[in-house]
Amino acid sequence: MPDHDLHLTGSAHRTEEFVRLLGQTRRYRFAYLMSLMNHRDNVEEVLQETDLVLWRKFDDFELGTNFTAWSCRVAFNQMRAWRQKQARSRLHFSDEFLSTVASELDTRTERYNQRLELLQACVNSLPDRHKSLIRQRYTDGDKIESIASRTGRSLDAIYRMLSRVRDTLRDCVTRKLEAGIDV
Amino acid sequence: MKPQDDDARFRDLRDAFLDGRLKEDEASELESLTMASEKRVREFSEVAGLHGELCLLGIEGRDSLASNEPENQTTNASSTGQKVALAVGLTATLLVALGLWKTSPVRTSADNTFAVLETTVECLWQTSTIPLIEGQRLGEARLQLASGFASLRFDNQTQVNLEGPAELHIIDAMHCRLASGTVVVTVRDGMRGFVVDTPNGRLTDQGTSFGVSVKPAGEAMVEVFDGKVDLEVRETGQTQRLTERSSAWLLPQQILPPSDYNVPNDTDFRQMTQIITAQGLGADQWIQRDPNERKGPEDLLLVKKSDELHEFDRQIRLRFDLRGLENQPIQLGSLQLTATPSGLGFASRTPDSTFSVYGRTLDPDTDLAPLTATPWIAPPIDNSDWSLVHRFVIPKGVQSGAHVIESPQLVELLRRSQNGIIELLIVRDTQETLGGGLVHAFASSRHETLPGPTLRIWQSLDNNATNQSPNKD
Repeated sequence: MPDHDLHLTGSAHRTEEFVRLLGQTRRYRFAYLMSLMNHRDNVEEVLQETDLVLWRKFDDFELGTNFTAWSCRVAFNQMRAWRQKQARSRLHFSDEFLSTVASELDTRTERYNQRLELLQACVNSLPDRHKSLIRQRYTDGDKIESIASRTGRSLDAIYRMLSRVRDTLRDCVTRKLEAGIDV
Repeated sequence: MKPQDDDARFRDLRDAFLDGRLKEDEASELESLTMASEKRVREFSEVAGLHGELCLLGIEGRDSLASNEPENQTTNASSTGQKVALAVGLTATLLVALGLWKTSPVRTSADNTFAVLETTVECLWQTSTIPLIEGQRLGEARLQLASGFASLRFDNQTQVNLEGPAELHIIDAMHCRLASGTVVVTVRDGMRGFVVDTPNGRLTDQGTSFGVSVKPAGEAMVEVFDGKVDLEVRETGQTQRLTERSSAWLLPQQILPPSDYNVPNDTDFRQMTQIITAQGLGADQWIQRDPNERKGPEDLLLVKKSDELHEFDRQIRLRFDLRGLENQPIQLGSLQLTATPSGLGFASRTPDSTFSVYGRTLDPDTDLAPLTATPWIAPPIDNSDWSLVHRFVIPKGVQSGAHVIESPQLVELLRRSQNGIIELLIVRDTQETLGGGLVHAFASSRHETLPGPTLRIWQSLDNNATNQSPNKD
């Protein structure tokens, strides 16, 4: 996400600019951390810490550079610090693995809002039952067990369907991005 | 294992991670399989990235549905607009925590709520900075519950039950301040760091359910039902961790077990005196900036701040004669004002309004000018004569009801003037946002049915009692 028009003159203006940048880019940090941690409550904790650190370090931010990328580096470090504090964390990916994945995710900061709009369009174009599955899983936050019981399908069947739908959506977004399609 | 088998296993584990069912020993296997191939690293990152984006869209979709409830239809915006509002709203939480929010011009356009008033039972609200009905979304707010029970649910699933009488200041999604009364706090599993400040110190939740009761002199009784709570005494920095089914008193200088502290029984050693502006040398009056334009009912006390027509600005002056008070130490004091419609201006053209109360002492032996002859005092009121006693808020649309003002500064002023006269000046800090805004009014001492401005002063019957500030906020 390009940052522009950074002409800060006073502390009030600087604060205003911080608010604007933080607000504009928080969605990206959320999705970025969800990609790495996959636990909403934990992500919210790390996000809160990240926001505070971003404010404290805002003076270090080089104006005119990419705030989204900078804030994601801060978020990544906060995630690492959080992991170190979580002795009971169930999943222990190595820092090396997470760094590798995070580097790949960094490439997604370009055209991020467009990507999200394309993803929404791809979800809308899914067959009804797939669309319903995505809604139940991601909007309603239903557990797989509930979805399986409601639809009369096995757990494995729901897991497989989710996997297929995600792959479909990934292909759909990639195709649209490559074709330069705008929503 | 063949590469295609590896690919299949990689995808199984990748999806298990995304669906939250990856086992601990499988995490390292997923990591090894992924790192063994650049293609898999890319694929894992893409699918995980997409999963994160779906989570984001899902949450925004949920919030969007919530904001489309009928009572919020006027705030509906485009999908993109709502997403931006959400992001700014989340940011607001941070800024409140940082104390920056008040200076931010973004406030008016942001949805800075983070909790909902879920349940109310027989609630009588004394004062609040927002209208209070079930389902009301809440951001930063001050709630004064005279009686009843109210349950707040934060978006982070923290439950705060308020038991009246109580006064709670919700500061942000992780922080509130209990000035008096009782709350019970329950946070969801896995969350830590929810803070409740009390007059004597801070409680920091470490994953738990606990109750806290702040008594009139500020001491807090803390009881942990489940989990842990960290206590910190503000003055001394002493800390203590309370665990499940334990309790303690949070006092001005220390933390004590329940068996080592007895709550002073207020009624045993205090007497209350009520003083009205019609007593002795007391008086009340409203002053208009331009006396030539002065118009309005004389049995009311009017206050207003215009956006353009400043000649219609009004302020209130109160004078109380304290010479009849006993010599015993003053322990507490409050000022009650009774709001009533003025019939002037339109409430719908006036936002939530903040009022400042300033005070000064007067020597009863000097000639006191009648209040009708006192001149307009132009803000900012920062000369050494007047000092700020308190600020309070009247929500938009509220024109009736009692407002009780209590603060350590008021007690201090009363103590300085125990055998003299005090004068209070009430101004509205909030200016109307549109012309034709409301003129706020309170009953004067000349009102036929409503009580005029009333000071209540509690004194110790025991001369040896400590002259301690109530330290309520």
